[in-house]
Amino acid sequence: MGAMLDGTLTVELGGSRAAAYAGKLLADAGSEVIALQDANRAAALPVAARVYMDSAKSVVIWREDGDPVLAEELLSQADVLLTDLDSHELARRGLGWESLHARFPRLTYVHLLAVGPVGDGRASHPGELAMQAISGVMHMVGDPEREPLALPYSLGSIQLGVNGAAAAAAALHAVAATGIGRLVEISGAEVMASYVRIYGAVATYYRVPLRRDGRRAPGSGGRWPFGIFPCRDGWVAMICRSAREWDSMLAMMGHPEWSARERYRDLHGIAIDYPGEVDELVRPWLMERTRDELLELAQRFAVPIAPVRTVAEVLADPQLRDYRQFFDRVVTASGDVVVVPGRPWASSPRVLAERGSGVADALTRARLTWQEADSRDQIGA
Amino acid sequence: MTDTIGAHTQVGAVNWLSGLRVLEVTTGVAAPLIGRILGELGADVIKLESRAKLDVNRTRVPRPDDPEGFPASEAFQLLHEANAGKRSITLNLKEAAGKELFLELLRDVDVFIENFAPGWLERLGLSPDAILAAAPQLIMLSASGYGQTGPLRTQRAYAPVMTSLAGIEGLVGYGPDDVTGASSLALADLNCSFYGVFLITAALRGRQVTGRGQYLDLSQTEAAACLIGEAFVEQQLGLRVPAPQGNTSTDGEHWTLLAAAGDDRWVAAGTDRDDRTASQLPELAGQPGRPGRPSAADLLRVLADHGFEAAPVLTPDEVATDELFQRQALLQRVTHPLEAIGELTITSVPWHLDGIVPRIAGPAPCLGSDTDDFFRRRLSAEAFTTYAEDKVFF
Repeated sequence: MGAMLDGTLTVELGGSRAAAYAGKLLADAGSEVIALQDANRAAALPVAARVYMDSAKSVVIWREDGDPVLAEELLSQADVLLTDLDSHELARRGLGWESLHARFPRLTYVHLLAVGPVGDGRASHPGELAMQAISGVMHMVGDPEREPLALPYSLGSIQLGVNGAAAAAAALHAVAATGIGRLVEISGAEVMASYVRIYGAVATYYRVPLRRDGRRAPGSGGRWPFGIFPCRDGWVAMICRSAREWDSMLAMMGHPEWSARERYRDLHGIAIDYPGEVDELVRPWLMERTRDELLELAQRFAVPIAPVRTVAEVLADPQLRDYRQFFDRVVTASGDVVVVPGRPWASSPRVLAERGSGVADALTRARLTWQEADSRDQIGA
Repeated sequence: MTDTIGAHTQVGAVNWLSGLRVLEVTTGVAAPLIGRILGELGADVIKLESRAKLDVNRTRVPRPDDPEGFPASEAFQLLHEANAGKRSITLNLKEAAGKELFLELLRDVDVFIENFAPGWLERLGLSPDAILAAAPQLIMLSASGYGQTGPLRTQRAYAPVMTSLAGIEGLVGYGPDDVTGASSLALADLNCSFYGVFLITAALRGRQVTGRGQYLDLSQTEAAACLIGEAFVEQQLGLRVPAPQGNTSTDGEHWTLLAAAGDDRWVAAGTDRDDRTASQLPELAGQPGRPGRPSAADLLRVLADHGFEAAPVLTPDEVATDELFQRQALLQRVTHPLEAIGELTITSVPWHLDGIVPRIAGPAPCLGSDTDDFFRRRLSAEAFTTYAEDKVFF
């Protein structure tokens, strides 16, 4: 891998997975990331999150009374301030965009928020729940006869982090050309709403109600199949998007008799008007086969089918583990070694060490000095 | 993470990447959307297409009520979501002259994005190594389902297939024995788009220092697995066996979905400071499903008064008309040059950059609409005519 963000310094001042994940990505691309960990951050990020997201960073135990040092010693040399704190809090601490931009004009300020304008009673205390609810994501997931269903593992915050990292990298490119720090503001609700609207375009086009439909996309996404289906030992995802794939799928199934009937040759009809009928026709064939058998057939016939894997199965997947050498190893503060997803762009696997309270180390590595470092208490390590 | 942004949102041109030229040979959404985002950050983006192998979004199942002659290959809404504001040129890469022109273009641009099945460039004699040797300034991104190597590299890939292999779909359900999935969100595609923007802009930043380009082999499945990295740690440290947990947050907080008045109307609520769930509030006892359900606004008022995180569960249609998102300029309208298609609504890149939401310059280009203008500026009239007659611009 060539140089990316090497030589840049990012300060992460956060309290949720959004800033933590954005910081992780910037670190993965070579930025020196110093995460300031106060009691709120330590409480918000459980051990598993910190092991995964912080292991390529320097984590500095922090208290608010260190903010003057933060500004003088760290932000004066930083390229990016990455934060997901409330802007009222940031302003109170003298860390708002306007005041920092005036002092450090090259500093890019990336502010990640759960929701945009509030005050109209739409959400109270917004966080991950509000992101998923207001964006329409939650309404799109689950059984139509049951309550909406949340996405796991704070995927709204994580996507906000991905967007934050992307915008930060773009800003760094712009700053290098102009010398002027950039302001990035992104809300998680808006990110997730944009996702809903982009793929909602399929339903809009086919005039299909955009409503959760269990394991199937609304209107089968315009062409059957599109969803999760049961098989002999679990579940598989199946989706066809082209005539060629549909033909291949029928060939894979041995051209079943029903597929020659006019009713099931109507591609619009089977996708949108009566997809459940086709589900039932295909179910027996699927139930005779295991996930691995179906994957093997899918590869042979070039049909988009894949097993729904558990996390343990993902860890053992030869494609990821052996051929792509995708996984990193992290040595935790207590000496455990865990295997985690690495960088998804064919980089060399890494062995990382969780760095708990590296105040002096971090500041030294950032070529800084901070006389108060030794007096700091470790919080929530 | 409470705040106000975009209260005075403006839509306008962003010039962060101005002066950069992007060439893409892409299909679907994941990779084309990378190019669209780079374009809205100021880059000049050219979509290189071929009538021999069309973008999948130009070949969708027709609508039965489309009138005779309706330009379906230009109309599909996803085509515009993924390709808005670009230019389109056509080139037949199987012709020697087409391949030669392609290589010339690669020498002339800053970024090249492709997402056809791994191996297609090698079959043209244009491996990533060969391309970078000829165009060392180039940032080249291949976005594929499983990466350019390994036995799955040529397996057909769509978003739910990749999130299934990555372990995500198996974590979405009402309980440990249920797998519902969230296939309709196509998370693997959109995640790939923003990972792609991240990698390309980071590599451009690196090029500013080194003067050299690089090749990026992005696997959508791997990028999806990264999203649940925490689950891998939990599994191995024995903290939890990752499985569907219904409406319980990653941190173990139970989220209550309260039915509100109306058809399929819901309010989502977390817990209060004492870890009480919303259904434990005396005012809401019996929810969900009790007769005479309160309005969402009334539910939200009660929950806010008691210090609960709470929000209405908006429908996707409500998102499109919601005042919050309108103020933030989530959607923009553009007019298609073909009258039969008319006005289109396209989703904004959800970023506020120096206070501005990037403007969508126009709809997706019609197939090859810029071929003449683009190549006439680069070729002699005689060469252009010869290539056109030889169907090099097919």
